Amino acid sequence: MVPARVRVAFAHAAVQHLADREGVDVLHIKGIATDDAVRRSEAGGTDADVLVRPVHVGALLAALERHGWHRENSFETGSPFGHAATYRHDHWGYADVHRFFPGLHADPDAAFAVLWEDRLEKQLGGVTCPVPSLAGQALIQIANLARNTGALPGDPYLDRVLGDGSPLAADVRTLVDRLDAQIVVDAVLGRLDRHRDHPDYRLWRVTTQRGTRTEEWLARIRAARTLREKLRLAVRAPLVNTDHLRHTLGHEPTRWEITKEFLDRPRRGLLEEWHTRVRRRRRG
Amino acid sequence: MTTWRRPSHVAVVDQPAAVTGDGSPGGVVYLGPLPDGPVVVLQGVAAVIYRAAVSDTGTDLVELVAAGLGVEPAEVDGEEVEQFLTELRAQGVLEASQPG
Repeated sequence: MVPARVRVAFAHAAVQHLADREGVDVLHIKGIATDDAVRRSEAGGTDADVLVRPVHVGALLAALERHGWHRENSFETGSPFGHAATYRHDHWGYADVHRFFPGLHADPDAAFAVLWEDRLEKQLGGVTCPVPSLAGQALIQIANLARNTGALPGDPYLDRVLGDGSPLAADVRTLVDRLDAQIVVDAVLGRLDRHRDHPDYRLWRVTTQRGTRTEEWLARIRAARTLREKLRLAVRAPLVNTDHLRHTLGHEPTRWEITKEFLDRPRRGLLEEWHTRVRRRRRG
Repeated sequence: MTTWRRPSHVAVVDQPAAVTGDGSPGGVVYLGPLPDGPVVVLQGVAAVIYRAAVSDTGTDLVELVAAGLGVEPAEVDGEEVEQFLTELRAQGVLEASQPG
C-alpha cells in the first residue's frame, strides 16, 4: 500500500514531468508544495494542486489524458468558481488542475505571470517543481481559507502572515495589491461588506456563508465578466452535473438516469432552500 | 565496477526507518517511473541497497550496505547486491552512470 502522502508527491512529480515535456508552465500550490514557514496546518491534502498558465491549459490536459489521467470533474462542474478540473490516475491518485485561483482577481494571465515571476523551486517526489514565492503561497492559503472556511478573523495564521510583526506581511500586502486580491483578504478577516460594489461580492458572500445552490448560481452569473459568459452560465444552471452523477452511480450515467436526476433536482433545490431558511431563522 | 544513479524520469520518496516508524531496518524507498508508473516499493534490505547504490559518496558499495544494515562488510554478499541492482536496472528504476 502506497501512503497518501507518497502518492501526492508522485502526482506532483508526474504532472511536472509532462509539463516539462510539453513546455507548459505550471506552479505547484497548496498541501505538500507549501513551505513549512507559511503552512497553516500539518495536513498535506489528498491531491496534487497545480496552477497552469492559462494559455497552456489545453496542452497540459491533452498530455494528462494521453498518459492515463481520467477526468473526474471538469472546470464547469467542479466548483461555483469554475476554476479547477480534477483528474485521477490509477498509480498517482488525484490532481487538481487550476486555470486560475479564486480570489486573485487580476486577469488570470496577468495573475499567473506575477506569481511566475517570483517563483521558487521545491523538490516534490525528487522532481524539481516551480512553486510561488512565500508571499504567493501565503496568499493562496488565505484565498483557500476564504473559500473553504469563510471568515476567521481571530485565526493565528492570519497574524503570522499579515500581522504587523510578521516578516512576510509587507510582501503579502504588495502581492495583494498587484493581484487585486483585497476582497479575499477581507473575506477571511470578516470585512467582506467593504466590497459591496465588487462584481464578486455576492459569490464570496454565498461561499463564506454557505448559501443554497440557487444563491450560488445567481452569484456566479452576477460575477461573470461578460454577457456571453453570463448567458452560458444561465443556460447551464439547471443542467445535471454528469461528472458528479458518474461518481455517485459508479458508471457512465444512462440517458434515463440523467433524465431522472434532471427531474429530481428542482425538488432537492427547493428542499435545500427551505432547510437553509429554517437554519437562518433559528440563528437569527 | 559499475556505479549507479536514479534515472531522471524516476520520481522518488525515501522514507527511512525513523519515518516509517515500524522499526524495520532500512525503511522504504518508493520509486515512481514517470509518466506512467507503476510504483516500485523497496523495503528493508532492498531500500538499503538502493540508497547505497545511488548515494554518490564514492564509498565502496558493500561497505555502505553493511553500514545501512548494521553488520560487518564481510557479512554482505557483493555478488548478490550487484545481481539485485541489475534487476532494478531491468525494471528501469536504476541506470549505470559508468559502463560496468
